[in-house]
Amino acid sequence: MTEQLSQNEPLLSVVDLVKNFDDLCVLKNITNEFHEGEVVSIMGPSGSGKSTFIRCLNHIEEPTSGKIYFDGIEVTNPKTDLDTVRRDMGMVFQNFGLFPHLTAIENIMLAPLKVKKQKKAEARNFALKLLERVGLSDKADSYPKQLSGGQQQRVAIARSLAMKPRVLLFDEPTSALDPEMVREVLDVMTSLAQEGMTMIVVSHEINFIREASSRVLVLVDGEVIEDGPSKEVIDNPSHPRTKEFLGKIL
Amino acid sequence: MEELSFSDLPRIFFNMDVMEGQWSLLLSGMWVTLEIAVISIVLSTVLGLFVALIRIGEDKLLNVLLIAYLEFCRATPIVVALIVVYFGLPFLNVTFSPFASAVIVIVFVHAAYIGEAFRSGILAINNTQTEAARSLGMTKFQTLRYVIIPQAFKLVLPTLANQWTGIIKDTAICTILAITELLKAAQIISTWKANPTPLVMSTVMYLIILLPLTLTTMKLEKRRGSKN
Repeated sequence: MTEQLSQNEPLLSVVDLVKNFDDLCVLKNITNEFHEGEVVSIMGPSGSGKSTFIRCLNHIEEPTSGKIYFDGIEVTNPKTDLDTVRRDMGMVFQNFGLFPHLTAIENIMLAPLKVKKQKKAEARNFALKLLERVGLSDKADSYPKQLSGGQQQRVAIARSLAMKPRVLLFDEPTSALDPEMVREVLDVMTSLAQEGMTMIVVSHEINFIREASSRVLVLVDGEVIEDGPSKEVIDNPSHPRTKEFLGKIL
Repeated sequence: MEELSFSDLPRIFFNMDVMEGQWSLLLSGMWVTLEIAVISIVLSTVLGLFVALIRIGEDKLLNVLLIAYLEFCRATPIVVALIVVYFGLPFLNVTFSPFASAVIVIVFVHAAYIGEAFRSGILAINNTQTEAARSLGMTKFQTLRYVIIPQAFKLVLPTLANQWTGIIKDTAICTILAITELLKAAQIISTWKANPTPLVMSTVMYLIILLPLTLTTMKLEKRRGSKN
């Protein structure tokens, strides 16, 4: 499963993905591919289905129909062991989702200890390295409520990295943050992107999207209306809805 | 009947001469009360957690059964359940010792309430917690065990402590069986000495057992209140 994929084989592919909430059709037949090392941003007006889309990828949200393949495994097959698939797909949430009863380092160590059955010393060493990487070595023993939003989100990123995922999914990672804290989180994400981490990011941070991501999908009313290199799409949007949307957020 | 004056009260209710040589019986009664209480608290808490886990599960039939069970416990006096188990079940050739009957009934009834407490605690935990845990590859069980239940437990601790207080008080129903727990011991001495002082002393002992618990509960509730 961990073999390198050939250049043409996508790490993650989505075929005819549909998601309905009761009568409301949130995602309409989305088909796309994500390759190893790609950093793909997803943007679009609120209610366009961005979050639902990214949540379907690791099956936190159950798609209504369509198929999702990760590393050759069909995630949407009911027989697939999702717990195993999810070990390789990290997710970072808008509201951080840190476990409030555990310290920063315990948050990071929990899954490696319980899911991967790592030895405590091994998990701890790696967790310390990750904390250093996100610039929070001195906060190992702090509880989430003692940390600022930006610090909490950086711990959450470290927690995802602890499972050594092959792809990281970010669901609006900076939209719950005060403006002065957005930067520290984006810096961590940018450095991850530079190191070759495969990332799919739902975000409105135009500068991050333009500089750090290779490709951007514009989602409107559950459809991908634009899909292309970030700089091109942002500097010269072709679809009128993209222009309208960019006009509003820039 | 002779005229009683206010100054007779100590002689009647706080007559330490009556207690002479009787403390050991009263203390052994207190010990039995504590035994029943501790066993019942542990078992009903564990069982209550299971009840809660089944309640939050999706199985409709099990849920209906548990709601029926809960309503039964809410709508019957606990002493009725005790009489049914101890005096009724032997007709089906099912016989429990008085001690076992008491524990079974207390656990049966209080697990229902504790189950509801745990259930509300688990449901109060933000769904992002579950999503975060599952997205790390943790199983449903691991998510409950390491993420949800520890938080829910903290949240419902004041309610639990209240239930535990109720359990200790409910041990007094054992007086209707042949169990010499605290209240029964006090009754025996009181009848024999024809004086209510032992009953007053048993009240004091209940207070000694329960006050630390109720005061802690009050503190926990205050802390929870100030947090919100």
